[in-house]
Amino acid sequence: MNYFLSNLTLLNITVPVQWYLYLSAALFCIGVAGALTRRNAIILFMSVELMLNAVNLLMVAFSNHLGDASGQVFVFFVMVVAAAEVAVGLAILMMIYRNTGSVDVGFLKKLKW
Amino acid sequence: MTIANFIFYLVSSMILVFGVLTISTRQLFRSAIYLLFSLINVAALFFLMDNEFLAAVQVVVYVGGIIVLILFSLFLTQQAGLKLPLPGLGRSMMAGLLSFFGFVLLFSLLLAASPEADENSFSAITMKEIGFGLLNFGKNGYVLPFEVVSILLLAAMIGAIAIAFKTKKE
Amino acid sequence: MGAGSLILLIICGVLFSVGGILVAKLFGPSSYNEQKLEAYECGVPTEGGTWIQYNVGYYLFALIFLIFDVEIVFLFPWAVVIREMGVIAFLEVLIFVFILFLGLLYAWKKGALKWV
Repeated sequence: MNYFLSNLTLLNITVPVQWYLYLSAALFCIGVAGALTRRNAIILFMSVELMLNAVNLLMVAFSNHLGDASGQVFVFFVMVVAAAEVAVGLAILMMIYRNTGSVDVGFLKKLKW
Repeated sequence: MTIANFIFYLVSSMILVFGVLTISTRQLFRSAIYLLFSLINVAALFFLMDNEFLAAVQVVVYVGGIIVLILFSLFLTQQAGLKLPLPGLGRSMMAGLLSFFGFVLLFSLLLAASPEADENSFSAITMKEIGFGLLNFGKNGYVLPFEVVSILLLAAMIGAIAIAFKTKKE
Repeated sequence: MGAGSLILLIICGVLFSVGGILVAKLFGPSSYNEQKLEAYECGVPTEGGTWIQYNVGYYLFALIFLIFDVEIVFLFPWAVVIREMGVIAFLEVLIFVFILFLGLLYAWKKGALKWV
């Protein structure tokens, strides 16, 4: 069993860093497409989460590649910002739903002067 | 193709498929569940990169916290599991084209500027290094952002409680 | 450990779940009964739809949980390095926890911790 594990660990280092970069680019673009198409505010939040995750993936891959811990420290900060954004954003959304009965962003045109 | 490559392909294709499902499904609840699968697979990728702590944090914060918050706000704001209308064809075509061109731009940038495929330079960051990065002064130390983050969390908490309670009194 | 344990976990998980279902299908007796399809086999039948609107208290509890969840995440790397960094790390985290404690006080004062 131990031999099996150590053998597989040696295989682990063969995934090059470029693949992570391409994956995170694709994930970011999916998030952008979601934010552009959907009108429901909660799905907009989910698209933003996808984009933030893509950036997290990129930073983790680079920080492993360069052997620098700063990237991963920033991943923590990004997670905190995502949590704070979701908390306040969803509270505002619930308030909007109470007042207007809808969470469709097309409904909130009054803010556009 | 080694086993690690196979796992990478499997996990990353699941991330992308569930990401697309998240933004294209018509039911809000399913959308949140697909997002959950996508985020769990991102955690699997962190695990593949030997960052076990980061994978655990991803699961704890995103899956355990943010998705649960989104689900509760879904229960609070939606009427009887209704199906959302699909966006118009022109709109989705436009968005698809735009994001596709964005992807092509990013991809070409990455191709032009990506680091060499040096397979042995991949060394996982340990938790100890992260801790020193968070708490050190001076170069590569982020103690000021660390303290500011707590103020941000405090502000988010107070703001969200104040907003959510205001609706309750009426 | 990384990939190796991940592969082992995936294999074991798939084997465990598929094996359990297969064994039950092969050796277990199967019978059909109307009552088996109900959500709760014993107890009162459920009333109304599943898509009801929840109380705002659920949201508040999830919110407070999320904030302190994120706080705890920051304490783990601190716990790893505190022996080497000594008093300074302790003071930094003391400030961090104190600022978040103010938030807890606010929630308490507002009554967000009470279940309604």
